[in-house]
Amino acid sequence: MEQLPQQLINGIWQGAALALFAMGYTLVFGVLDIINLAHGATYMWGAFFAFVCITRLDWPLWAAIPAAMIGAGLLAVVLDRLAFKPLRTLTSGGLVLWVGFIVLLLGLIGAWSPGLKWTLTLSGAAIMLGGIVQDYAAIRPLRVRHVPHLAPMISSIGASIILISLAQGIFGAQVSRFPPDIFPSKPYTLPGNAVIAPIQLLVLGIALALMVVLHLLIARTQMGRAIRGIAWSERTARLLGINVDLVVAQTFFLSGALAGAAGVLLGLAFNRLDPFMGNEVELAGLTVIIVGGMGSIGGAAVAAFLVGMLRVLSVGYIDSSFRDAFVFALLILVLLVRPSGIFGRGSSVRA
Amino acid sequence: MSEAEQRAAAVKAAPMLKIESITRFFGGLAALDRVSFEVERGKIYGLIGPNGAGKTTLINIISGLMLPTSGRVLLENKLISGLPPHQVAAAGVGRTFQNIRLFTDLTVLENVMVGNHLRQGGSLIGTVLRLPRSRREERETREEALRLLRSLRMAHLAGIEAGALSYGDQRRVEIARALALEPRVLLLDEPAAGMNSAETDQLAEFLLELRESGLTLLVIEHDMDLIMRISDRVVVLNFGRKIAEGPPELVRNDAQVIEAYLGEEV
Repeated sequence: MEQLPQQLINGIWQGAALALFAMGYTLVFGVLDIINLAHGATYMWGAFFAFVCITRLDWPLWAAIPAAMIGAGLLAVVLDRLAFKPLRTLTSGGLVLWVGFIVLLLGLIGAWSPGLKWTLTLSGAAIMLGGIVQDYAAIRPLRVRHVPHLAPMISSIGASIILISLAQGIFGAQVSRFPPDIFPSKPYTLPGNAVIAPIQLLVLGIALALMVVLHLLIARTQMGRAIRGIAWSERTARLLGINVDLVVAQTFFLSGALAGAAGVLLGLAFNRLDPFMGNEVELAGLTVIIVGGMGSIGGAAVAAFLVGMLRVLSVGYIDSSFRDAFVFALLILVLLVRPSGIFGRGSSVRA
Repeated sequence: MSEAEQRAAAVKAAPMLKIESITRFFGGLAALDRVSFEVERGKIYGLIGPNGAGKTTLINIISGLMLPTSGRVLLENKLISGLPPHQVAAAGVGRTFQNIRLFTDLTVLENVMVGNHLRQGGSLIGTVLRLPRSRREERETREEALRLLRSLRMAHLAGIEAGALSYGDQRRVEIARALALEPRVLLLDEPAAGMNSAETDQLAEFLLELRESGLTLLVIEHDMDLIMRISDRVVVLNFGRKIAEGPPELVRNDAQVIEAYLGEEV
């Protein structure tokens, strides 16, 4: 039991990072009713964005973290346009975007001469940009679709695989690491013989700050009210003059930025990045948002600490191989006792 | 007269809302068949007709939720049919629904503040970049919404979750939310549905007050007493066609209207 204070501390900072991931996950679900299974891939890309900023561009850490958040946020917006938006409403801009994306992919993965590779990549990106602008400008879609709930989820699995393969192609499948001297490593000693590393404090601090910011954005701003309005009824929101398309894009940006932040922070704390790092957090995050109540941001935050703690304690006291078993046992228990989750209030009331 | 003045005068002379030969097919069925009428500024227009006459379809077309198969809708001579709903709202058309659609887990005040969205804006970049100012803007929006609620004598409801209100109050909050848009035309779809007679009386007073303040209203209603009492003019639809239009007392005695409502034998 003398390990307990240390385990609790580990549970708290890991739970905080998990909360960032899960809040973005549940935010998109609350607004659009879709489970974005590419959220884990966005998280992984967030970590690699910071990695590129630090190792290739020599940026300091304080600049790399926001840059990674913006990068991951924009990635999520593009993802929405590629994988989800065409399932809701298809526009000619959406088709152009897809053409651009295919050109970009060809450029990135094909064995071309360097000149051709760059030409393809850049022109693909330019076509995509044009497609997105055209997509936004479209007043009436080519068609409005009513696809089954499963379609966007499967679409997001595809998007996730593409994003992971891209990362594998660019960074390789091996583990990448940040330079060791990027952050002071001398741990602080706390009462109860527990230690906490500066990087862990940083994770906790940034995660808590972002949680507060997200709460204020949702609860106290006009944008937050628009998000909550759309979560309740998209049609009504439109008639009140809310540009739903734009608010959805902003929701994806927020969601991606939070995933990106979680990716950088956990990547830094464990100092290991690989293209598959999103898979594990994806499952933990899914548990968190179900336990917290689908679409409930506060619920996701609380459940993240719960799941984080459970994971750490099961590793510390039982066996690390049972870690996920305990998490899923919690999931099943909650589904049995309270299917709408701890903070869920039924299916119609969200966000 | 300068050019700008002439243009302003032309807009002023134009009808607030002009429905031009609107036709809408659902499959082979014409829900609306070449319906045309004009809504004068500052008046209350009643839109009546038996169930399935196409009243709600027409309101859905005006507010941009639905496209007409053919025909046009003009707001002060500006074409609004074909615009997406949020741009129609921005052009000055507010509406409420037959079945109330408040954001039930938001407070009354928050509901009205959402209605204020257009003028307040609320983009992510704007919100983040103007963080220092956004607190002030938030306070201003809040005060404006409170002012509106006060002027509608609903300030005491501000902090209550909309879902917890009585039916009549929910109706009034929905109208208040639509008013927060500062619309020039308000479309009301059965505002008195489910109200008792005292609540209906209050509603009538309320709508007349709105007209006094210069607003133009187009009201769908089944309660004939209410419609005859508040309307300056009544448009009657039956099977998607306009069968009568005129002042309430004339429409009330129109043979076609009586037939549509009561059946041929009477």
